[in-house]
Amino acid sequence: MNNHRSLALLATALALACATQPPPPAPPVLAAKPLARPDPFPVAFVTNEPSDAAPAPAPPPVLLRGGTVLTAAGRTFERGHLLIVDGKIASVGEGPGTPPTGARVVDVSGRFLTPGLIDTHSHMGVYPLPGSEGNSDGNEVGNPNTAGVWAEHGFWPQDPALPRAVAGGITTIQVLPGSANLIGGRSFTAKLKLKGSAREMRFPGAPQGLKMACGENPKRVYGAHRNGLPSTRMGNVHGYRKAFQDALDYRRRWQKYDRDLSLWKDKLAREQTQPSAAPAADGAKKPEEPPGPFDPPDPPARDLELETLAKVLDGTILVHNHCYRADEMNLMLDLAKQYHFKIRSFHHALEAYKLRQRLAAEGVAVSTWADWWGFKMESLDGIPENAPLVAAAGARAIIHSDSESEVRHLNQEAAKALAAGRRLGLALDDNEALRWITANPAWALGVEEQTGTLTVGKMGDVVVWDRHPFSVYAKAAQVYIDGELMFERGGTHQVTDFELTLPNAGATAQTPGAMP
Amino acid sequence: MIAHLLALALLTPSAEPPLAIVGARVERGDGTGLAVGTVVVDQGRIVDVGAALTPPPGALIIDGRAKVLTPGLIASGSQVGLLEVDLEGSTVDAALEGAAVPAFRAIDGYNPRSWHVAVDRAQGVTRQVLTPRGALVRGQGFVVDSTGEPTSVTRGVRVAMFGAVAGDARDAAGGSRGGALLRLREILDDTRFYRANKSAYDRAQTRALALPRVHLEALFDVAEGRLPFVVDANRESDVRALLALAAEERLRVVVNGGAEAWLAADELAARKVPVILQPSSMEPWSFDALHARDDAAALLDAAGVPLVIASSTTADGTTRLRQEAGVAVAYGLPWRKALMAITLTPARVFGVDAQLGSIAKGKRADLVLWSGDPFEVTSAAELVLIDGRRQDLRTRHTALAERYRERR
Repeated sequence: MNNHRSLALLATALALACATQPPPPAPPVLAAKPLARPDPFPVAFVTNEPSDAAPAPAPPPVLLRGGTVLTAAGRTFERGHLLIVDGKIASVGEGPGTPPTGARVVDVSGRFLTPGLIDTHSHMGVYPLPGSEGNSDGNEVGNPNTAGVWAEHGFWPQDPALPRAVAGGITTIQVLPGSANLIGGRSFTAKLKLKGSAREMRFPGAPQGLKMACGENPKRVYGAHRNGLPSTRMGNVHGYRKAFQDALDYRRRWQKYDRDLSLWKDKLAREQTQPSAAPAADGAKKPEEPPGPFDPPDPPARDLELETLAKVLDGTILVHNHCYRADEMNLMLDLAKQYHFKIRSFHHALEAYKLRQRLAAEGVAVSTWADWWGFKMESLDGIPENAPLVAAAGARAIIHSDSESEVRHLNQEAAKALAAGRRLGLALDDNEALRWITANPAWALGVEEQTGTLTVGKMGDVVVWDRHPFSVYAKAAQVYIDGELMFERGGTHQVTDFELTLPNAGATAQTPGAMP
Repeated sequence: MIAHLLALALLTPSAEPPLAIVGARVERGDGTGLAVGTVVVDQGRIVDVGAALTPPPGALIIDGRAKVLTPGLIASGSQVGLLEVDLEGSTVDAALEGAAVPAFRAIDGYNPRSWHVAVDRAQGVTRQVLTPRGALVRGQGFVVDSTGEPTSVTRGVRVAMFGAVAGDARDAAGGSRGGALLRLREILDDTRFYRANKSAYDRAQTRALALPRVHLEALFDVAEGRLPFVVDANRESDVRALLALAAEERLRVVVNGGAEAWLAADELAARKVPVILQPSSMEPWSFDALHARDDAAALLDAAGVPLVIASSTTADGTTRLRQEAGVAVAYGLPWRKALMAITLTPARVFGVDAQLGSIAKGKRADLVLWSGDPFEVTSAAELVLIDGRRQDLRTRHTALAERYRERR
């Protein structure tokens, strides 16, 4: 009895001892900063692809002068200029500007310049035109969590929607997996200079995104159609929790591996610089370290789903969450906090106006439409004032398309939302509404340093409109991407292989129309 | 039947005093306009239109200066009020199962209290052409007003039969376009046979017919060329096959969709066959639309084809009707032709132009006063009249916006 008791006490003491020992130097689990190694899961390892296309030779300088320059950075220059050198904006401001040697000078008097438009929510390339079974590559529905798939790998660069989007002034898109899955996979941010492969169209340096979806779609796809999990919003949340719990564990395993690896390297280095002392001359035996090779630690098994989520925890993949209802967005923000990741933007988010203060406080962007509503239960409370209310509260509002038609007139959609906001009495200027389709989407995609405003040093992504872009009659007259003229109405335009022999976006020069 | 409903439709009791909209730019919808004009409304009708009119004594004066007055917009291809939440089957009454259901009257399931009716009304849509969904022969369409009142159902006018020759129609007819056309010919043939042999049919002394009695009866007016048959057709070959069918069977057809109709523009014009299309979606969305082009509306109009502009009816009701007209103008359609395409031309195509579709003396006072150019998405409808009555422009949207404007 006594023995038993003392054994029990001993066990307790040992346990206490363990618990009270100084903890091992734990890696910061909560911080959203990268691990010791810059990228434990390098892209090249997974795909055998070079990270980006070789840079193309820079187009000759171009000076656009005489038009109204809407910078989306606050300033507007009437009869201003914009100079692009080596694909980057070299000068923007009042007056005619000075053309460097060899520059093409384009008179854009009476026209309006804006940054190239950016669509944060596109399925071009993964659900290409014309609709077909053979080319439907946007939803990998085999599992509610397909975090390991990449939209880039399903992207068909011959989608005839792409050059039409450019004709609508779009220069950058985020291609997302669909919303069937709770966690649908990695997004792909592309510049719309059409190339033969997705890789060559990657926006250089853009972080990848992760598509997540709340609400009705995952419920319907897995529950109603397949009698599986999830079939309720409870099941949805369980799915996210499970995935991120697993990701935390997975990340911890890799962090432990990193730590062990680093200890092993230190040890190896010590061995090399301080070889063990020669055996004593008297031959007396000394206690030795255990023999055996200095094996490096075994890395944990890689898991492509968890790898994506681990990058989300690290903050290197940005979360774009399809979520309509305010209560669900609140729930997702709480969940993200519990698992120590950030939601970069909500998509569709028709009820964002109901939690706009929180979105502003937590720095979460909102990609939405101007007037889609009522097509399913979770879209019942969509109102045209959504984006304006979000903007007026100080959060980043974005007008997105989710449609190969709507992407062609995103400017009109922004104008529509702006007008609704003004009718509600919100003080919003044109610059703010222009940011909904330029600077704010650039931020959501993590490329705000490179594009999204007409600012010196940024990419030469510019649209020349034949009238103010908030007019329904406005059409892009010219579109430059990295300073290269990619579209000119009635002139230069990109043509996909698919469109050969078909009418296409740039083939016809229409007379600008308006109210007489 | 049509005459009966029209008679009902004429009953618009109004105790309100005359009303005069003064000083607005008046765009009549018939291709003409007044830079500054006055329109007088009494007893639900437009009683006077002119540049220098004196409003009658006692008239309620509405200042229209710096604003634009148009006829109420007519939304073709609408399912507003036939469905509330598209993905909730229990709220959708837009289709009857079956490949060919001509007797189906979508209006019997129309809900004037639908939230969508109010939202579309606030965008200047005063009449909806209720259009069933479905396959080969989808049923009858009706024009209803957007008042949101129960009378909009009783006053609804049957205006067309709807169908298709591709897409779902093709699938329902055995999986090929040839099957769809074969089945249409069979149905029309049996319609005429039944009409000639009704009593024999009632005595069970005829062969079996392609459709049950009620459906064949519903097709009498179509087979006689009195009721338009509005057929979804996008591919040029479908448009031409439809024209051939119409010639052969002496039908009055209307092309709906018409993505590639511009390729058959001359023939459509020669036969005065109207085309209903959605200008903003002229991209190759299907193999049936590979030759779609943005200036399709302008090309059809230039060739002399009666043109009707419609909006998508999926995610946004018919609120984008005026934006669609604006897109057509951006791609070359003359502005006044675009207004006609959402007012007088649909009224003509659906046979209600004696009452609706333009600002003309004697017509019903469906009028919209806009803050500016109605096609600009930044303009708003400030006053909407249906049969001379001011409409409530508050919606579920405005209620939500007001509730949350100040809420933190």
